[in-house]
This record gives sequence, structure tokens and C-alpha cells, in this order.
Amino acid sequence: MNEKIIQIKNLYKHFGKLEVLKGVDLDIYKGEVVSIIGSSGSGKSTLLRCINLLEYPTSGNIYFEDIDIVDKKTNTDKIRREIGMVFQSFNLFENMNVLDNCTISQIKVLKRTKTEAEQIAKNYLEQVGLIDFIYADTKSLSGGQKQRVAIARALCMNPKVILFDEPTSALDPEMVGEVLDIIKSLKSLGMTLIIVTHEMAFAKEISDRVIFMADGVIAEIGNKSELFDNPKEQRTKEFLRRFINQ
Amino acid sequence: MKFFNRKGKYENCFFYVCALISLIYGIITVTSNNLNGIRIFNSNASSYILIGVSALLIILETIFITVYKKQLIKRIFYVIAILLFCLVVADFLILGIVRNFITASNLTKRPSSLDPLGVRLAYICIKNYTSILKGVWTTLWLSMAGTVVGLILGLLFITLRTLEVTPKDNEFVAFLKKIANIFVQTYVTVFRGTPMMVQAIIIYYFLPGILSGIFNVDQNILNQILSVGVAGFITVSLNTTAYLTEVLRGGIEALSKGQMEAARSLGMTRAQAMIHIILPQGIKNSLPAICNEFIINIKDTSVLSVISVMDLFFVIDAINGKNASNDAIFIAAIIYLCLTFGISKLLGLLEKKMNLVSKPLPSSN
Repeated sequence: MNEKIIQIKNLYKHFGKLEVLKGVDLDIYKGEVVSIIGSSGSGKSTLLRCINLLEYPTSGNIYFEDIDIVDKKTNTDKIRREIGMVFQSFNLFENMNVLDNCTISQIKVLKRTKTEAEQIAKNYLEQVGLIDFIYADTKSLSGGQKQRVAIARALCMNPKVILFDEPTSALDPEMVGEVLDIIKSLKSLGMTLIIVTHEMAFAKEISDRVIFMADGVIAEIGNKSELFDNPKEQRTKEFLRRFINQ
Repeated sequence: MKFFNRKGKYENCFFYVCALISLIYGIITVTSNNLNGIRIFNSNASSYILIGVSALLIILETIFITVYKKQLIKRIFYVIAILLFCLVVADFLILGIVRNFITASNLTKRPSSLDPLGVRLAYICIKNYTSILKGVWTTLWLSMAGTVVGLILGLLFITLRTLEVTPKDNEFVAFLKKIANIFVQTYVTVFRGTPMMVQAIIIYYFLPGILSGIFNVDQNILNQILSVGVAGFITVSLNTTAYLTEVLRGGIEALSKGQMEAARSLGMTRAQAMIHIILPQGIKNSLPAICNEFIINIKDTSVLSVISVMDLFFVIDAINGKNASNDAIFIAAIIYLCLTFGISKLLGLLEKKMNLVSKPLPSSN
């Protein structure tokens, strides 16, 4: 059994009066690929964003490699170096070209030299198939290309975990495939991936475990075949039925 | 051949306007009595040639428009009409200005209000050009330095203003952040809410007293340091800071939240994210407004004249007082217009240049 890399205990998150997360307990193991599915408003993105503290929990604990990141004494920036994130709306830095997007954080945060950072960046940009675009302006890229740059940018930090917040939801259907292929290739690198997605087929294909969230709690969690083919909970069955009928 | 076959959009109308104006000007120069000074069209042969050629052009053009319709010849007529018009403009405006200056330089005593305005203005320019130029220089350096300092302080203030209390801050850090926020907001309210004239008077007359009270420095030394120029510079700087802080705030808030989130998710501290990602884009968004503030400052430095800063307006005002008339104000108007227009164009070029940052490769959309 692999060791646990992330442990979430009793997580609550309120936004003012709105309770979004109502007690989440979850363990993520090193090297596994976990998909989080569920309806809008179920708290999937909030849960993901709590893991790298883009949202600060109202109560509860999150342990990353046995360090409580919610604790006030933990340095959030240091933790975030180990946890990469890929956003739904790409969030590339628009004042830089593609290569600089990937090197800026390596140089400023990891203190690598410029040559070293560029070497690593070019390597990952080649892996995502964008080596010809390294000096391109981010505005001239298509959505799929932007997301691939975002993935390369996250990879350049050599994180232990990468979080994907609906990575293909803002893409045209033709581009969804190229991004999903890249994510699949990451699995072979042995990285821990946590993916919030609406792409059911993709979740079924790539995940080790699937989490179904509803109403701010984890309604069901299981192996991909367990959850998709033999869902135990009523809510899960209804959700999957709606999706299959679509 | 292309030049002669294309037709401009309003070419016919322009032709007639130019030709008619040339014709009318020629008739005026022939019939008027008091033509003096350097002129191209001086009621002699040149004027008659002007009348003849423009009349001929009008007649021929009308024939060609209705009957012949040959574009090449019409284009030649158009060019000639433009040339005549340029000569008329040169004679009227440019040589007009030259004539005024020559007349003024030949005067032995001040022109009275019976003399034409042009001569009076030319006389003022000739007699006072050193102080007018000094005034222009003061106006320019005050607005430029004031805008630059205002931008630097504005960047400092906007970082204070946008400090956010994070859940991991302890109570003291949170309190300090709140104080910084409130300080900047108060500063902006005060300095945008009072006229720069009022600020100038307070700073010049009362700042030494306030500073010597707080820091226990001898007030006389402070009074000596705080000359009108220094006081004026401080006023423009502090005033501009307030406006530019708000401009920068707008430029930064126009950015999507995702930029900061992406930077933080890569492990950058808030300071690193601000320096490398947010502020560069925020300043770029704010550039038009910053340039606008510079141009506004060129005009607004005129209020510093109230504490005797020798800017352009002060100099002109002094000339008006000395001459017991208001003529020189036209010189101020013309110079201010040239300054603002010229700098506005220059800054427009600068903005265009700064917008071409990285190479755009063709998108594969």
C-alpha cells in the first residue's frame, strides 16, 4: 500500500452564510489518480482549492506529507511549491511569452538559474507538443494550446501533486482530446493527480479512484469500476443516470 | 500613373474650396489699401496672377466635370489649386506672423490698444521671451517631475492599499495591514478632495511649522529649504500620487483574479506575484490614464502661481499686470495648447511602441 500524501479531516468551508463543504474526510495516496465528479455546487472545486489553500477552510485539517497546512505556523508558499494547479480558465501570465511563463516561477521561487530553468521548460513544453511556440505571445494561442502550456508550467515546478480544476470545461470539443492525452501521459510519470472533471469517460479511463460529491460531502468513493458500474448510493445512481441519458 | 487616376473622397469639394479661397484672397489683396510688410501677394503682378489662375482653374474644372471627365487633367488642376491655397495660407498666416514681429521689433515704444492684436502680442514676445521661456521650462519640469514622483509613490501606495489580511496573519500583522489600507484611502480622499491651489498654500506656508513641531528641527532652516519651487514640486507630487493611486487601482482590479491565483499556486509570495505578474500588467492597463495625468499636470501647474511659483501662467500674469492689459493671455493659451498637444502626440507614440511586447505567432485557431 502506498503512503498517504494528503489527508483531509473533517473539512468545513463556509462562504458567508453559504455552507459549501460540510465535513469532508479524504485520504489521497501517493501516485494515484483521483477524479472528483458531481453536480455544480456540490463543492468539488472548493475542495480542490482547499488542498492548495486558495480557499482557507472554515474548520478542519489538511495534512500534506503529515504537515498540517491549515495551521497558522505552516508556510503556505513553501507547500504550494509541491502542489501544482491547472485552472479551468488557464490563467497564463499575459505579460510574458510561453517560455517565460514556465521559467518565471522556477527562477524566482526555486532559485534555479535561467539556463537550467529554460532547459527544464523546453523539455516539458516539448512533451506537451508546444516546442515550436516557446516564444509565442500567450494571446495568440488556442484554448487547447494554452491549457497545455499551463500543464507544462505546473510540471516545471516538479510538484508532488497536481490539481486539475475542470481542465477541459472551457475548451472546444476538438481540443479536449489533446489536453486529456497529456494528462494521461502524466500518469505514467508516477505523479499524484487530483482531477475535478465533467468528462465521465475520461474519469473512468484514467482514474484509480473516483469520488462523487453531492451537497458538500463525499457521497460515494470507490474504484472506477465500482463507482461507475455498480454505484452503491442512490444519489450516485441518479447522477450517473442523468449523464448516461444525456 | 496610379496617382493621377485615383480620385480622393472629397477631391472635387476641396478643389473648389481651395480655388475659391485663392480667388477671394487675390481680390482682397488687390482691392485693399493698407498692405504693408513682407507679402507674396502685394497688390501687384502676383495678386493679378493669383486671381487669373484661380478663376481659370474654376472655369476649366467645371467644364471638365460636366463635359470631358478626364481624371488626369482634373488631378493636375487639383494639385495646382492646392499649391495656390498653400501660398495663400503662407502669405496670410505665416508671413502674417512674421509681419507682426517685424513691425513690433521696429517700434520704439509700447504699442497701444489701437494697434492690432498681432503686433501687441509680437511686442510682448520680443520684450519678454527670456522670462516666458523660463516659465515654460518651469511648467514642463514641474509637471514631468511631479508625474514621475507621483507614479513612484502611487505604486508604493497601491501595494499598501491592496494588502489583504490572510487567515494565517496574526493579530498585529492584520492590524497593520488595516492601518495601511485606511491610511492610503484617507490620503487619496484628502488630496483628491481639495483643490491643488489650497494644497499649495498650506504646504508652502504651514509645512515647515508642522514638520518642525513633529521632528523638532529648526523652523528657519525648513523655511529656507522650502522655497516656492520646492513647495510647488511637493504639491504636484502629492496631488498626482493621490490620482495615480486610484488609476493604478483601476488598472490592477481590471486584471482577472486568476492571474494572482496562478502565481500563488506556483509558490510565489504575494510580493513576487505583484512585482512580476500583477504590477507590470496593471501599469500597462493604466498607461493611457497616466499619460493623461501628465498632460493635466501641464495645465494644473498654473495654480501654483498663487504661491509665486514662476511657471508660465505666473510669468504671463506678471506681464499682464505690468502692461495693465490682458493681451498676453493669448500667448499663454497658444503655448499651453502646443505643449499639451505635442506631448499628447509623443506619449501616443510611446504607448504604441510599448504595446508591441512579444512576437505574436499565428494562432492555430
